[in-house]
Amino acid sequence: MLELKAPFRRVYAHAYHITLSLRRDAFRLLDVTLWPLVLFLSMGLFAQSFTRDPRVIGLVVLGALGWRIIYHFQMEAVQLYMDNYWQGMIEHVMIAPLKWWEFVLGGAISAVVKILVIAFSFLLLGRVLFGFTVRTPLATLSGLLACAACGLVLAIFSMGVAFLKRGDAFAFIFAFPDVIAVLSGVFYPVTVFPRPVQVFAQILPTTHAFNLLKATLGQAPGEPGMFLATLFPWLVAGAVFTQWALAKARREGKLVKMK
Amino acid sequence: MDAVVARQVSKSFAGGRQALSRVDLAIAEGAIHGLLGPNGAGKTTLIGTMVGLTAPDEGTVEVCGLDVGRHLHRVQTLVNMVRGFSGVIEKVTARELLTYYAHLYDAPLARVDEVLRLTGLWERRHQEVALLSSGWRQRFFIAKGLINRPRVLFLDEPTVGLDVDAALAVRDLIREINREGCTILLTTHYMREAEDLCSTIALIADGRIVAEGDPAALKALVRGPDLPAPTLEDVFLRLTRQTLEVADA
Repeated sequence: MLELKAPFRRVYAHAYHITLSLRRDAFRLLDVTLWPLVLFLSMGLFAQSFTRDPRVIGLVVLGALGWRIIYHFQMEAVQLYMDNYWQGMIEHVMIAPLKWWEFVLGGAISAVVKILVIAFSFLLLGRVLFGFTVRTPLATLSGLLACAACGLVLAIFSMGVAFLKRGDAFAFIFAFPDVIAVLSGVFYPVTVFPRPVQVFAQILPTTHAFNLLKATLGQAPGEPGMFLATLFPWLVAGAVFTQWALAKARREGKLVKMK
Repeated sequence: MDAVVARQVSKSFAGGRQALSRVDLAIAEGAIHGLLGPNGAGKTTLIGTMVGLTAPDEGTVEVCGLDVGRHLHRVQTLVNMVRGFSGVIEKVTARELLTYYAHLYDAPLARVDEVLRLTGLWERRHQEVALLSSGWRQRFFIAKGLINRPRVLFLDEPTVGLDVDAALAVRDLIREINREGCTILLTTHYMREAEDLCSTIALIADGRIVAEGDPAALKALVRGPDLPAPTLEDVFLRLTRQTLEVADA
């Protein structure tokens, strides 16, 4: 591992840094324990109080898991930047020879570790409390990976916003994945929205990622083509935006706060 | 050969504030070059253009023969920076944090222990950096600044806020680093420190270099009947005040 090429080591460096923070900060551990379980149990018990229909329970379990995946893949990348910014060390990071996408990939490593913990607890509790089982493992895994890809795209956009807005970016960054998940029909079809919102939802890759999960329960058409067709434009737009944001921040002297 | 060359570098910020105005500066390889100026003179902005944190509006900066704008990534492998005002991330030990930077710079992990010993931090390697005294914390940042064996090290007020003993120790460290071949650009508000450490000094005021040379040459600029034996402080006050008065007028 120590012989990895420079970019891989920088990606690993970010994951290492996040792990250090996680290990030392009990509050961060709540990210993989209390907060996801609050979402999972409240939604699951609410649904179960009305019905034992396995499709409804399945929507709750897979929807909550997909949502957490998007959140973690987005948040982990930006968290490291923001931590260093708040603690006054960001200039030491930004003078190092790193690329913005290395933040994103480093965050992804940390996200994978957190998601494994969350997925295990969701699937175990889903089985014990609600009788949920994954019936089509490969299709379900594809849907979850689609959610991860969406989280990475949101992470790229969020990095751009962080470069531009620094400390002021955090409210946006925190709200971003949750608003997108709600607009993408996390537990319900997007047809519940007014027509203009439905149109917007259709151009979000997250809508089609959730549809891939819902398809494993027979609750939506699973259209990988639509997912990829919406993902790639967002991915390219995110990369262009963040590259532009980094250059703009550097040009305006706002990349770090010097004194 | 010059390790750092700034040519006609200008930079202004939002609101039209001109931070740098056509700055020319050359730092010889192996030198400790001082950059002195009042608060807000443009020292930190100039360093920012040299390490790639800020892009100049006009002009070019070369480090080790590479244009910073065009070869930023390569330049960033060759430089490092230590500042006197850095915050520090909590609950992480000196060794852990240096390991992070070693990964960032693709430095061998053995370098972590080397810089810990070089800076005298070895006995404190398992202590949280945030809990170190300011003197030891500054040694930590110097260790961080050396992790990639930089060819040019930018020291932005490295002894600010340190007690006499800690400041002396940091100065000794700076000399030692320089003896090993590292070119250093040092900003400081302590004239004695600049005179003690620097082979050449540039004075900057209102975003312009107002004088440059070795300490003796700078003193000669203001020597006269009213000031037969000027100190560097006299040079600083006279030349920077003149510039600011002209700017105000």
